[in-house]
Amino acid sequence: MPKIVQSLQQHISQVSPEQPVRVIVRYRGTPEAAVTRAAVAGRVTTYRMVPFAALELSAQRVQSLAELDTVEQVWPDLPVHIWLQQSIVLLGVPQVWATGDRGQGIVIAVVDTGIDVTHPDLQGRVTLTKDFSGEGFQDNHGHGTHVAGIIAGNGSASNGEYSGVAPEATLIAAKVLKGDGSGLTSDVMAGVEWAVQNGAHVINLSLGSDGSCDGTDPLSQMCDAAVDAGAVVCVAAGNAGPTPRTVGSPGCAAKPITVGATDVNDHVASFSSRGPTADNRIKPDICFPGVAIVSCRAHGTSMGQTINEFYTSASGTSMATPHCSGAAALLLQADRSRKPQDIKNLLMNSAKDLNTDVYAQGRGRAQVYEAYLGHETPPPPPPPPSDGGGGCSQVIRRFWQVLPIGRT
Amino acid sequence: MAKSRIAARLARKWRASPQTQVHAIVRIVAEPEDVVSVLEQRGLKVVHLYRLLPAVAISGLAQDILSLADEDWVTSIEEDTQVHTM
Repeated sequence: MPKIVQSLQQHISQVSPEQPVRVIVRYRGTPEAAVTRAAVAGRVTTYRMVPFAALELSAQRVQSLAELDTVEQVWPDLPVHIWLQQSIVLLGVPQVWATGDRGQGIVIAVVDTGIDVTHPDLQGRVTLTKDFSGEGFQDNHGHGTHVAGIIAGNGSASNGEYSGVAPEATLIAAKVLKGDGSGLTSDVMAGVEWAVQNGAHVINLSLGSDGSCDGTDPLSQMCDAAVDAGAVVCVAAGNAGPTPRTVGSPGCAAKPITVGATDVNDHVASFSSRGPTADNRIKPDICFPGVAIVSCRAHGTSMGQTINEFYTSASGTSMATPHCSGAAALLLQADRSRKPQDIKNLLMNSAKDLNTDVYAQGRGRAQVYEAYLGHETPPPPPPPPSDGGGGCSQVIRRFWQVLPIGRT
Repeated sequence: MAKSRIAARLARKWRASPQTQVHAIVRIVAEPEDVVSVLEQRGLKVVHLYRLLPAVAISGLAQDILSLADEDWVTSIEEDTQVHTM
């Protein structure tokens, strides 16, 4: 077996001979002997328990090092990083965290099945709750806890792996759905109003009703009113795709951000509801990852595919929407003067075009760090319409409208 | 012709079962607190009063809710439907 592992051999053959290279060397014999031998080569780090040493030397010296009888094998000293959920990485969220912004000072309302406030990732983070379901606030379903974890879980039960988008944001929660995941529109409306009255900067609604709508129904109108009152409202597009015109209420509401779901390969999920709305508006507005999302598991529940005691994996526009809510929190923290329409514009104008039907992807898949920087993605030229006799379903539309900040 | 305050399909459904207990969301042009006593006098239960949107959520007999369609302070009557997780 070659003493220099293949990846390192390949590397040193591609760089200049003087290029510094960090390696880990296994020496024959005892750890103490390795210390002595490593000193000759330019020691960096040695170990007491094993005869290894971490060295930095020029690329051309790696070969001669490996030829020594005292050297058994040489590996590259590779950088390591924490494992984060793929969706968080895909969105560019860690780059935002690197600036110091992690949602501090932003209040996000979860209007859902309740939250397990004892979960390690959410303990001490939920500052206000109210039950509208009549069942008591406990999350007997698991959905609300999963959503809350995506928004603001701190990953403490997973060594940070399953952190949410805004892991230092504050949560308030209205339980409007019962343990079977259903509820009345009137209770959801009451939950939205309660969230506004209690200072929510962002409101997450990973719920809705089936059937096409035009935004004039009471719940959609309440969501519009919440936006007018200054809250960013993120709503799920629905899971009735890929059939067209399946965005239900409140996904069809004009002013909230309506969120479709993509997978980690940037394909719009087949279940993600498609537009247009009943009055022919483009919805969803944008897509976020919503397939196989691991997040907090409420105690005693079994929603999704359980990972362990504390986490479970689930799919749906319900899982995409809280990514949007967390992203909105990060953008608000960066500039507290921003209005809901500003946040919506930032996210939509920086989204990645997935080269598919606008009624599936909206503006595209969100790029949170790009939105944070205020970057705008150039709109692709619209393709010529195709009149193949099949009507709207035959036409792939790409409609990009750059929305000026401050204008509805 | 003034726009109907209740969808024809819903009105037919409730007229067909006037004694059924139903839930509705009623949008109004009055202050919500001002209509509470009126609603309660008609045997209707007020479940929620909203302020962001001028509306009330009520429950009661279908025939009693249908009668609200004749009131000038009512702009629309809609069934309080189910929503679910996504």
